[in-house]
Amino acid sequence: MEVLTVDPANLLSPAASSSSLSQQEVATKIKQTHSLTVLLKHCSEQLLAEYVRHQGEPFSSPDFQPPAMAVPGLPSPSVPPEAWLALSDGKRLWHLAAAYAALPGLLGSVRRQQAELNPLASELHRQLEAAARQCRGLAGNLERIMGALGVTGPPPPSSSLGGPTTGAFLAKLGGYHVCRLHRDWAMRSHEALGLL
Amino acid sequence: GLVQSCGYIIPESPLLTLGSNFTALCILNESCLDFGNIHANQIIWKIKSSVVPKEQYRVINRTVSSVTFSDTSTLATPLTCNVLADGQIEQNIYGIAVTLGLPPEKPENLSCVVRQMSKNTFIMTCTWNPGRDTFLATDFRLKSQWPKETLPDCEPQGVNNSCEISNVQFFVNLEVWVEAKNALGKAESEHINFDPVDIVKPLPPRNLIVSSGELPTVLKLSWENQISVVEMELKFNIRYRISDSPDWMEVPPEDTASHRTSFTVQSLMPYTKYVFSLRCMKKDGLGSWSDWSKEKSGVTSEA
Amino acid sequence: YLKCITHDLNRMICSWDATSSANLGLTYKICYTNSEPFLPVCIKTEEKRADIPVTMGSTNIEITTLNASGTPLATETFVLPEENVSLIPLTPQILNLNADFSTYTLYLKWNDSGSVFQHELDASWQIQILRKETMETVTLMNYDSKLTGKDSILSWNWTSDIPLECTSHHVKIRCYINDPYFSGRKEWSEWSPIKTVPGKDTKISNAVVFPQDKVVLVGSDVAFCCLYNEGESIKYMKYGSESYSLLHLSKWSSAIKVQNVSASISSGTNVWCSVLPDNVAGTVLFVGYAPDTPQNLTCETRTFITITCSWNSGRPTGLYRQRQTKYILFERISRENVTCKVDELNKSHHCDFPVHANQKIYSFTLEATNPLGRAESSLLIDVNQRAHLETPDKFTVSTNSSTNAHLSWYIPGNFIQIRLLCQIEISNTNSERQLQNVSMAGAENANYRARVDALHSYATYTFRVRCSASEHFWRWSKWSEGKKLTTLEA
Repeated sequence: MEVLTVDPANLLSPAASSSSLSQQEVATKIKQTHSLTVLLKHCSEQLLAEYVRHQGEPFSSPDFQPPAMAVPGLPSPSVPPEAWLALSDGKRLWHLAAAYAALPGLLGSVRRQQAELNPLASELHRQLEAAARQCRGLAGNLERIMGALGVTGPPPPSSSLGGPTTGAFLAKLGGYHVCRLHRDWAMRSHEALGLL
Repeated sequence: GLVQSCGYIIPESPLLTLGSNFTALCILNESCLDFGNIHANQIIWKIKSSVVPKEQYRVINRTVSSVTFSDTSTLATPLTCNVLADGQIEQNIYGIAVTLGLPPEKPENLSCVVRQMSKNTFIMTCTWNPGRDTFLATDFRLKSQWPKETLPDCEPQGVNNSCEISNVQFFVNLEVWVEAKNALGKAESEHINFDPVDIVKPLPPRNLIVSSGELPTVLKLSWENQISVVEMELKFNIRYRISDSPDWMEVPPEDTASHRTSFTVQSLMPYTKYVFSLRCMKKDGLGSWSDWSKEKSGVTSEA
Repeated sequence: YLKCITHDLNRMICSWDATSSANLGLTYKICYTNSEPFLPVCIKTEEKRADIPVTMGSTNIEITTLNASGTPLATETFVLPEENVSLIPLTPQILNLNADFSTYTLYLKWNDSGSVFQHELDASWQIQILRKETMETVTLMNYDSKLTGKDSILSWNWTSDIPLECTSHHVKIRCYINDPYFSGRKEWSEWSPIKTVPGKDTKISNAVVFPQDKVVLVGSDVAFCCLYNEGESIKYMKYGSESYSLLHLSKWSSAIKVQNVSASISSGTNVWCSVLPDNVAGTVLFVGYAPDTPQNLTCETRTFITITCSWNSGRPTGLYRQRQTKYILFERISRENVTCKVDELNKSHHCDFPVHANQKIYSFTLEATNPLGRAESSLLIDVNQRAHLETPDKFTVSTNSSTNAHLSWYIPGNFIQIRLLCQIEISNTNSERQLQNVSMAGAENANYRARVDALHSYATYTFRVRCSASEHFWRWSKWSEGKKLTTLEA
């Protein structure tokens, strides 16, 4: 677990520092949120592995790479790494906030679908519930940091995964894409918070 | 009903604060007055079966008598209104049940601890001092919220001074407080705000292995930490004793102040059986020590 | 030559080919008689065919070719024996063709035109099912019926081995009349116009696999098809991790056939196709078992307010949630039934049924159903013989003497109909244990009392009590909690 040193001075524009958080509090909040992204990254990888384990082939085979599928309401981290790094802190935070505003609802949908498809998989249900909670927590922390940095947040999401009529395979595939995007965003957020 | 009552008391079934004052009125029905040639001044107030001193009575008019209590602590159920009529036969007119109690006090000393129950399961237990007995059904709720999200209330199970929350989220500040409510009032504790990761009592390290090294004065310990490093880095206390001695010796804490899964204990006596045990807590000292791990013994090699 | 066909054994259509070369402007006069003394009937026609009655035996026919001015050019006479007449039924018409996609079944209805014939006749029908763009015959089925002189609607159904969505299915029928008294040739009618149930393999929004979320028994053979769009092509199709050879049904539809499927995991076995350039589609097959016969069905009452039946679900079906086994408890005498709420993740289940006033005998049937079948168990009980009382509660012991003790306890429930047998366990400090039985009238939600005599003075005893039905013992209740008592000094 890397040690994160945060120098709030170069982050805060004068306008922001008069917000509710002092510079020290912003630094503490960023450090705390970075720790949360470390946890999120670790858990999201575990979640994806646990998820595919319960869906049967082809999901559980390592070389299963279905074409990317757009998940309504959830932006995909498609910005190439170089371009991502070139973004400003505020812009990166904005992208993260948009993703983490949508992910809790989507993970909640996946949990409900898995309660139908895999009622015995209590560990999978626990991880999905924890993931949604972690994303809600991260969304809250990001909002606090963005408020302190004077960055306006994204609009509220309109996201929900396909309803019960989508068929079991599409439900599994949709859940797979949500878990995969959750992991990808966790890695992005970990990277982004490390840059703050 | 079959028997027409000759009067009634107001208020009907009062809920009163202990120590406050209280006045009740007994109102006789007109129809009964003529029949029994009764007057309000013949009314006798009773608590259970003991007569209330007459000084506390006041005849308002021919049909209404009042009784006043400056301190409701003396009150009990039933409070009855009775009349001495027709040759000194006491006749009960009406009775009421009196409920006495106190509004809840402000819950004090709210504190919380997160106990690790298994690798991925944490339970946060918050405790508080509920304050004096209110003698009434008093509902306690542990309230919690994130900066932008109210979390579900925690309802104490069978007690009124603690509650357990299972969905603990590290690295997100949590604001917690207690609300107490009963028929006579409501009170709210101080709000406390913390990151649950800072109040954790982790499970002790397990699968402790003690292995002798090349040197006869050295034993190497290795173990498994039950809490994930992504949740917290740990520091340790390692204690050891010669197997047949009750006296524990401790590795200097500064030597085990960083996250690890092994440690080499030095300056031991050759060819001697030692017993080891260790515990852990969050590296920055926040939270509490785990319990001591199971003891494990090992023997240093011969000199 | 002269060729005569009859569709109804009543009239026949004769057609001929004229010998003269010039066909324009000619008319024909056809005269027919079938035997003496009937006078010939003549018809003039410009066509080389005529509609004349069918009669028993031979028919004499004379055909005269006339030119535009009516001058006879040639005359041909024929003696037409019945044998040379062909009976070809009218081309049948399919009334409607419906499909139940969930059961892969086509439902065909057609009119047998029985009114065309005056008497009862045996008819044979051929029904042909075709698939693919190449109109490949899937099956040719024969169906016999009896024409009754009146039109009747015939219906027939056929279950496909592949989902009907996979490709269009076409149906046509034809008829054959077997009149034993008609000596002429009997031939099949023309095929009816084709009726089609279109598959879903044309103009789909996104690649898709059928059937969607089907539930089948372990060991079944199942076909799946992958439908894709114009410009796409199928790379492979897999059942779980196993690839299967593709059967091409149409430009946009390919199928696989899987034999003897084994039980699937809880979330079902995935069947999916990889579609070029970059798409994947799939479905899930839930493979499980029909419900097992509910085992160890027992029913008892704890309070004479409800009867609780409990049972074991037996072999797991492997199916969950919306596909789980549902239980209904029927009671034949009162004709009432109760839908049971069960936890599918548990093997043992129970269900409550109300006790009815004035009903002693209960004839229960527990029905278990899931998408793959049903099973049931039955049980007949006399409720008075199935009392299993709740644990005695609020158990108190008191004494005001040196030799006896007063016991009191509460049991919830309405036992007015029966007598109770209660057993009092008395153990002293030397752990000597003594059991005393006491019988008493049952009551409703009542406190029961008993007195124990012949105790030692100034001695400490621990008492416990349990109860059951006195007559027709079924089960003891659990023991109450123990209560200690020290008798007074003598």
